[in-house]
Amino acid sequence: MATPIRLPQIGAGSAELSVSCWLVDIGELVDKGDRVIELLTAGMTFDVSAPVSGRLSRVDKPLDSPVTVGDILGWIDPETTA
Amino acid sequence: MNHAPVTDWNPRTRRSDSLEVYLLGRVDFESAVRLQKRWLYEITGRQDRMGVLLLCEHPPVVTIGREGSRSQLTVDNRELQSRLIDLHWLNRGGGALVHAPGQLAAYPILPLDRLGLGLADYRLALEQAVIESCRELRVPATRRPEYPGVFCRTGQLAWIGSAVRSWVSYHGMFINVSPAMHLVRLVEPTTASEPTTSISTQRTRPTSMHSLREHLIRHLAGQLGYQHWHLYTGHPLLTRTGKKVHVSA
Repeated sequence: MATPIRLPQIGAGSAELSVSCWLVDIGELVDKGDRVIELLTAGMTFDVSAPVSGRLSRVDKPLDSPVTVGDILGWIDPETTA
Repeated sequence: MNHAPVTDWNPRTRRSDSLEVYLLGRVDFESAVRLQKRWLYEITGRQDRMGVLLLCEHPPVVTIGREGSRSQLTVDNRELQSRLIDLHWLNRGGGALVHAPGQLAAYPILPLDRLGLGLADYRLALEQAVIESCRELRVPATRRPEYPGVFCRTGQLAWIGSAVRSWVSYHGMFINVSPAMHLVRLVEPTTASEPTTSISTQRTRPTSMHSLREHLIRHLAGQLGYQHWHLYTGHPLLTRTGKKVHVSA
């Protein structure tokens, strides 16, 4: 069952957040903790890590999409990477 | 303050609660980035509140962050090359900036989660430290919520261009103390209504880099909640090199 990549509470206040770039492509394997997406707020970028190991299966927030805390950014299909 | 003698010398378990400040002088941009990455990995692997602040100046170089574009540059690639000015695209926030001697580059590498800081708190701490430092130099300065950085009567004098990876900050902020303004004007400011200025312009007299550095270290440590900081000059991973730079006649 796919696991969502959620935007955690990052204390950005009222500043707008948007997707700056995805650091992995759909279908690529990631380990838990790997950076998967970079977000942009005024003057700052923030990298969100993969919550589980697996394969990036879907992107819900493409480039430049506005995002808020709790949004699902994409999905990872857990699988053994060995 | 706790003055208990240090008994644990194991680097894996020893805990530090201090800010380590490196005064690096003039450092070429690539070396500063390499040093930040070295500290980023070190801080990411720790469990304590230890943070690092690298303070330096750069030879003339242009960097473009995620909010910038090539259109901000007032000159073309050929002219940059003829002036021996490199151009770097970075994964930091903020737009295009010119770095040159006379601009203080401050790179805080901090475990924001362990310091209990969110992104907005971190930005506020950086801006407030610059504002307090300017106040000591008798330069009234303010922040603007919609634009990261610090502003004074004659324009913008400090910029934030930071990045956070695994809750550890790197890149940082840039404060114009007394850079050559013909270099600074190679890039148009992102905040169109605010011209680029410097502390010296605002004071209409020279301002020493080391006085701003001293104020900034003290105020930044205070804003971030560090009670102790250690100062180092240079860094063992940096080696002395020569580099040809453009000097206007």
